[in-house]
Amino acid sequence: MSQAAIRVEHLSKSFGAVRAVRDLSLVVQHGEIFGLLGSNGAGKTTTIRMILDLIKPDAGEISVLGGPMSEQTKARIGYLPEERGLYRDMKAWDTLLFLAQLKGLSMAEARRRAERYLREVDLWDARDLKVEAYSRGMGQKLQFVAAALHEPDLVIIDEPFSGLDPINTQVIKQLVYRMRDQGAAVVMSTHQMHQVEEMCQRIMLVDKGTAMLHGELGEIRERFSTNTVEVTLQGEIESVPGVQRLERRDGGYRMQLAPGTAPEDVLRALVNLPDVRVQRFERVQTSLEEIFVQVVGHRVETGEDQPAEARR
Amino acid sequence: MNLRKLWLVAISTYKQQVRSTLFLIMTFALPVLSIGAGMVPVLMAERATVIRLGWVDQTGALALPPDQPELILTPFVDEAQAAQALEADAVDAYLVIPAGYLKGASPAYHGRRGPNESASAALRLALRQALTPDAPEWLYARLTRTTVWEFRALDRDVALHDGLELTLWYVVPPLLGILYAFMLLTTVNHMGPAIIREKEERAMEIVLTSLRPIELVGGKILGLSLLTLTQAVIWGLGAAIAIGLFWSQQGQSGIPLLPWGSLAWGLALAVPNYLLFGALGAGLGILAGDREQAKQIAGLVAVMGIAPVWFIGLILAQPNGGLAVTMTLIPVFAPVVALLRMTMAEVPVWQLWAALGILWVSVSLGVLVVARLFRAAALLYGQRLAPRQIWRALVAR
Repeated sequence: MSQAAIRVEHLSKSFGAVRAVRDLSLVVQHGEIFGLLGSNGAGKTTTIRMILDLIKPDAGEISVLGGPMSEQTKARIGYLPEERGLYRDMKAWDTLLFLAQLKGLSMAEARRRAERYLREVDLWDARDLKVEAYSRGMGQKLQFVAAALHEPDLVIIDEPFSGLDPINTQVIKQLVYRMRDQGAAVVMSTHQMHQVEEMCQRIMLVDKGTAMLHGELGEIRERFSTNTVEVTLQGEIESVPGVQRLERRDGGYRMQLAPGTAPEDVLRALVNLPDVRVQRFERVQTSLEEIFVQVVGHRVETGEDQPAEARR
Repeated sequence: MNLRKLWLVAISTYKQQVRSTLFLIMTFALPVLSIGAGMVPVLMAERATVIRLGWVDQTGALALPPDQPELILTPFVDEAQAAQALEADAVDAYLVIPAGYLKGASPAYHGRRGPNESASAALRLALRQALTPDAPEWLYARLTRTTVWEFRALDRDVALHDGLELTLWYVVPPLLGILYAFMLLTTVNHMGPAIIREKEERAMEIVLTSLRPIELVGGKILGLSLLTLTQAVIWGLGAAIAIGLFWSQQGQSGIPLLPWGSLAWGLALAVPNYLLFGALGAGLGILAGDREQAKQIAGLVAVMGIAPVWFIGLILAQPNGGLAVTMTLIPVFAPVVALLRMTMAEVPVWQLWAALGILWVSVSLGVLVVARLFRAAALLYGQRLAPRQIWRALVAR
């Protein structure tokens, strides 16, 4: 599995006058969770659908699991689409068996795995219920199981945690980690930045169909680092050597360091101040959301302001 | 095409539909009614008993016929006496033979209920015996037996017995054709919503990452075909039981002679024709935005299925006329029109083979077109394909 799970080069797609994806290139490796970020309508889902051969690109090359999409490749892919949907009047159990067999599993193997997964996500007792009787969270878990049941080499999950409570979010996360640990490539498309920060090694931030950021999450954060520290202390301070701007925040202080000043210089200065006792000293990491806002220029919203075709 | 995937879709579609209440009602109501109708004479025949009949001969010229197993006769001098006996339950009914009987007047049967079939037959025999009391026994026996004559159709080399067999020979093929036309209604009405359902329930996106559009569409058509086949088998069994009951009740044995050759051609043409309507139904489902639209457009397509029924008079009157031949070669009409024509005349075999070839080519093209449209429309949730999108889908490489 040395080759990339996904290799996309110069991908473009337009819907009428709307350019949904523009010259987008990315590589996803096996054994990693890759975050595809962007507000709704940014072009994430269109990119995913092109990767999955659900829609054809106007331009660009796509290689999935070592080549162009084929029927054999499809059997090695798991997909949780943003548009959730299963056959409402079908039993959950029958749904899983049907979808697993379409992915090439034998009936016996499908049954064995369906039982294991349903027990893991706590849906075993609800297996004979029709999908329409499931709550949103249950349906979400069921659909995730459908995407994972055949233990694919590539899993694409579009907004996997929307509608899940914290406990179920944890259950799904563990399954995602397990797939990654078993060598699968996981592409997670979301606009929930905190989930990406927690789970992804590499990301691509897309806005209006264009890749705005692409690379290792740590490197990106470093690049957007603001050289700021947060301090909680006993005592009062009005100025600190090396600190350009000092402001009170949440019972402590937020300090913007002067160019060339290292955080440890400020810590040393604080410790040496009379009548001051440092209780907490922390370098502020720029959050992904802040980076996103800086890059895209607006806050992450649910994005109903985009044209319908662009969201496709 | 992956046949395993196609089959999985077909079985899944079939299982979902076959359990629906609507299907169960539609499937079992007709055979239950048919068998019920077939059972009526049988049940009535079982109730046949001996009748004690009063005999009032107002002609004065008839002899009292001998008793029969179903009929015990008691003579009365007048109607009042016979009525008294009926009141006293000494007889079950009485027959008044008017003075003008020999000139054609009808006898009157007085009773709380009419004579059943076997009693009627015994009564007819009794009236004949009363006219000719000295005639030999064999003559009465022959007179009571219905004459069944044989019809030899010289142009087909078949010999049919008058009555039910002759009726079945001419009625079964067109009846099956008409029944088939109505079954197409069911198919078209199911197919569109089945495709719309894929879109509405948003399952399409998942399913299409596992199989090709043609496998999904083909599987849906096959699944619904199996559904209709189930319906046809149940209806066929119901009809066979009903005909069998009637056949045996008529005192016939064996099975009636039917135009098996015509029926085989009808079946050969019906299979691709059915698939073609399935593809048309699927296409409508794709082009329609929602179930209501799908139902409305399905109605228009269904009209094509039953159109031959409107022309039944013309086709039967001129089975090898221009209209009949043309309609045979039009794929949507072929099986029903061919069945109607073959009932009335010998249809040139080349026309049947041509119809069959055209049908299979149409099916292949139909499924291909539908699969392309399906792919284009698959992710348009709640939207319809625009004409330009339809064109692009059809000409895309």
